[in-house]
Amino acid sequence: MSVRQGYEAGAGGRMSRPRFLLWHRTVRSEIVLSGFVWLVILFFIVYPVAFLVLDSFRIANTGQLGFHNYKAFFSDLYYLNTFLRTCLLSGLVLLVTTALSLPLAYILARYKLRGMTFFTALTLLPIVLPAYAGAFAWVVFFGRFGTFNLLLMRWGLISKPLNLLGFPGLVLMQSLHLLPFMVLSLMAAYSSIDPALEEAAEVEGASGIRRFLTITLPLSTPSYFAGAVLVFLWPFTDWLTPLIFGVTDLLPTIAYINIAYHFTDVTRRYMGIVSVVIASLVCVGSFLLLKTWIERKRYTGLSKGTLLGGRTIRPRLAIRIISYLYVVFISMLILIIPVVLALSGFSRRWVLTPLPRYWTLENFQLIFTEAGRLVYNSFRFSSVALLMGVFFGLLMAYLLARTKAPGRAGLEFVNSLMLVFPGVAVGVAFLRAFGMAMASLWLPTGSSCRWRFSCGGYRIFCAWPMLPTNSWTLRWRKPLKWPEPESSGHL
Amino acid sequence: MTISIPLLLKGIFVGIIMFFIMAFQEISTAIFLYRGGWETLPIGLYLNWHRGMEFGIASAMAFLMVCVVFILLIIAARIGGGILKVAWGASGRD
Repeated sequence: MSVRQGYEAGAGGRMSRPRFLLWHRTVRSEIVLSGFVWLVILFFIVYPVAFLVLDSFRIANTGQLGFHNYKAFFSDLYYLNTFLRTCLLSGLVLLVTTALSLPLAYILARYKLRGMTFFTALTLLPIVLPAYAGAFAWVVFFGRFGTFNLLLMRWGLISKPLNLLGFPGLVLMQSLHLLPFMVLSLMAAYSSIDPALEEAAEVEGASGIRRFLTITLPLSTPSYFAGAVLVFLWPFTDWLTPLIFGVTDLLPTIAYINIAYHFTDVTRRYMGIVSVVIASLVCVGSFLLLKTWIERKRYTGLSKGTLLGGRTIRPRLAIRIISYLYVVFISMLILIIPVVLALSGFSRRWVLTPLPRYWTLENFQLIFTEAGRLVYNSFRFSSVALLMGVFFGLLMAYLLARTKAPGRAGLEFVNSLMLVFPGVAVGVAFLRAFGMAMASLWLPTGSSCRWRFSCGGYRIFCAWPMLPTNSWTLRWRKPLKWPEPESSGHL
Repeated sequence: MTISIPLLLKGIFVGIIMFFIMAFQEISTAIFLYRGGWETLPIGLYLNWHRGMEFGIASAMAFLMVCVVFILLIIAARIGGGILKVAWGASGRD
């Protein structure tokens, strides 16, 4: 029996007694609670998103609705190309991530080697690091005259600097950022396969590679696809990394540029909104596909049902050395991020030398003296968001795990849908739905718009250890007071 | 009440920390919704890097964020019993 089935049976058994005794009270309070949660969802998710979708159908200057914008989008070669390039990027990123993570996850999950916990932790680090931090470090290190190229040139390996930014660099960077998601999925898959199956294959005479291809790999496909969808969606949601890498013709990037910089240009604004909607559609669509596919193809009956601690192997010396080299290589790539950021942050005028020449604390002093408010704002808004997140997360988790309130399946669906919904879409939707005058965003003295909310779905790995459900919750930014139009330091 | 809450507490704490990390580095929605005086660290970082070309300051900010995230992560790993379990929550799947 799988874990989930076991939990559900347990929860059901627990439920039966109180429901029998306190039928009316339990049910009524559950309905009130879930009604409240649905209201919040309606207001913070459905309403803004509906606004956004409606906007994309609006025909400029006429007040009518129609498919005009979509037709314009797909008949304009530039935008069509943008869409296709995003698909291409997604495909390439998925390919590279898969190629990197298949062996990596196998090494981390199966081989019994010294120091693997440390390497696992390091490999998973990009999950919590912001993607743009990695991109900055990459640009400084692998840029045209960055450390990497300068060193290669000094050693005489190349005569002209290699271009590691642009599209190919973008593929590598995004793959590196998404690697841990895939590694986690695959590690789960590898370690949840019943050892008896692989042992049987060995007894029957299947060699290492054949066993991997015929037993291990097919059994790990559901987990693999769960990770693959997250990886595939990422280029449809990430606008900042391409912008840093100098690639602008991708859906989310073009959406950001068109809406944030060219909102007065009606055509470009509508094209931006259409690209946001299309990116969201791709995300939601592939998420739905994955969901139906996984429902159909469940291997839970063949798995042990535990999270960690599957079969472990003590490899031969040669394989051990190769594994170490590979793991160290990936770890180095990831370690570049904090190291390069530190080097660049503690130095001044770091140009055309492999390492900085002048060391200084100036940058940090500047942050705390002139831009201390940014740090304060970050903590303040995150804390408000956290409060809301914990409140709704716990409420949602309670409803999903412990009650039989109506519409739980829908709640869970919305919950997991927020996982894949692009942040840009949420931003634009909120801007359109709650920001009455768009211009006021850019004019500090704007008058009409008083309310700003920010809602990003954020997972809260929470609560109910009985139920492996992660709750996606609302992020809410409360306007504490009307901000005074002060200058923002050196920004 | 006396049974569930203590059992849950660990998960809730880890959840809080992970949520804070995610909220702390949020930029996609914030970039559309901020206004003068409300810039957060990621927005300041973006403005410095992309519009101001102040790479040193932007890197310093990014490094600061990485440090905050790292400290929080270590706390989460302490509470949650190992980095792996914590990462499981962060990856959003069961």
